[in-house]
Amino acid sequence: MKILVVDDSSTMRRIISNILKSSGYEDIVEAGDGIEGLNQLKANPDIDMVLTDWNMPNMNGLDFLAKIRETTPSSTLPVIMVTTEAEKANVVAAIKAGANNYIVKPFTPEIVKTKLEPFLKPA
Amino acid sequence: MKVITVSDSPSTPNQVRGVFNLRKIPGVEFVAVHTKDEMLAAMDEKSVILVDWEREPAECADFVYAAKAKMAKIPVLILCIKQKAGTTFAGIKAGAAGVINKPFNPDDVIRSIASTIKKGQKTRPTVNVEFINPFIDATRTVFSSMCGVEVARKKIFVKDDYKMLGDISGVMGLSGTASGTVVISMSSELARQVVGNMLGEPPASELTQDVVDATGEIINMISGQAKASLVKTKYHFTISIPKVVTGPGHEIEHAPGTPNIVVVFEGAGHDFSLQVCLAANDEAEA
Repeated sequence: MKILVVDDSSTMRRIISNILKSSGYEDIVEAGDGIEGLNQLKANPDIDMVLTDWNMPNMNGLDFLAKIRETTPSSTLPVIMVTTEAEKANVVAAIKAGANNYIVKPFTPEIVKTKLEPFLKPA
Repeated sequence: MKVITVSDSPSTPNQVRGVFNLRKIPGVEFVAVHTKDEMLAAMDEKSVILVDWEREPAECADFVYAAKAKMAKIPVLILCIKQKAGTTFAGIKAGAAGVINKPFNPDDVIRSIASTIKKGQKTRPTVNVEFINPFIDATRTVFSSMCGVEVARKKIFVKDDYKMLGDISGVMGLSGTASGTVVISMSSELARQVVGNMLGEPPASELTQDVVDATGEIINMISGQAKASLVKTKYHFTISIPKVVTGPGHEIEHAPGTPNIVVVFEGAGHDFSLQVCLAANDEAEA
């Protein structure tokens, strides 16, 4: 299973990647903003799931999600928002835009694993 | 109203008094001072301060800082000839509300003072505890869940200067019904330790790009969580992309006239500080 992690913080990408790797998901690609994320999706059509931050320069996570959903439904490519934007209105906006789930930073590895479980294929 | 004229020129206080006499404005007390101590002693809640100091921009700013430190709401105006941009800039940066160019005409002086007093009455530079607790709670949560460090609050105070207490600071700008900045400032040792914990790796030997990036992420998470807590109140923010500043004794500016509240925490055997400098805008106060 190939997973795309999009966040402008390289530390946050590493934290999320480390959590995924500890669960046996080693095939991870990264991007620093929505534009890089779209490029990674083009270059890696076998990506099975996307985890994306919200607040990023160049293209934010919500716009990135909207771009993905123009061509790919949520049943084909799950997208999980991982963000500091914890207000209900933000969660609703993300779900309406086609997010499959929502993880609020700060998080623990257990929270990430629980939220991703429904969308993970066996490692 | 009391007009306090701080001047290194003996003629300016007389010119100011002449303006009010010419326009026959009653009930104004005039005080001419030459030193900071004289200015501070003369100040009261009805005062307006005019700073006319051509010698050194830094000295002009010192008068403004001192006046604002004693009474944050006091209206201060700079009297300056147009060519002295350095004095104007230093005075405004220190918190002055405006500038009256010399040579001045009477109506400009009176209009500027009236407008500054009006603006001053609108501002409420009081410490608003509603702002602080969500940021304190968020700091505890972020350090505990992401960095594996339990932190305890040690003290809280108001600080006017821009010098940070740590070697590395993450800064977040907030805008909305309240606006300002939130800063987390840590020693190099603590920052390397908490970032090592975040990444599940040994602490870096210096302030690497990872430590810088993670410090930005820490203030991002603190701001995001506090923002979510405050959504139940009248204060709503938008957060921006964090910035990180490093170096011993580095400085980060905050809005003059707005209380800059410093909360010192202890975690993993080190002190670190959270600074919250936020002011409610008119929309929230309506």
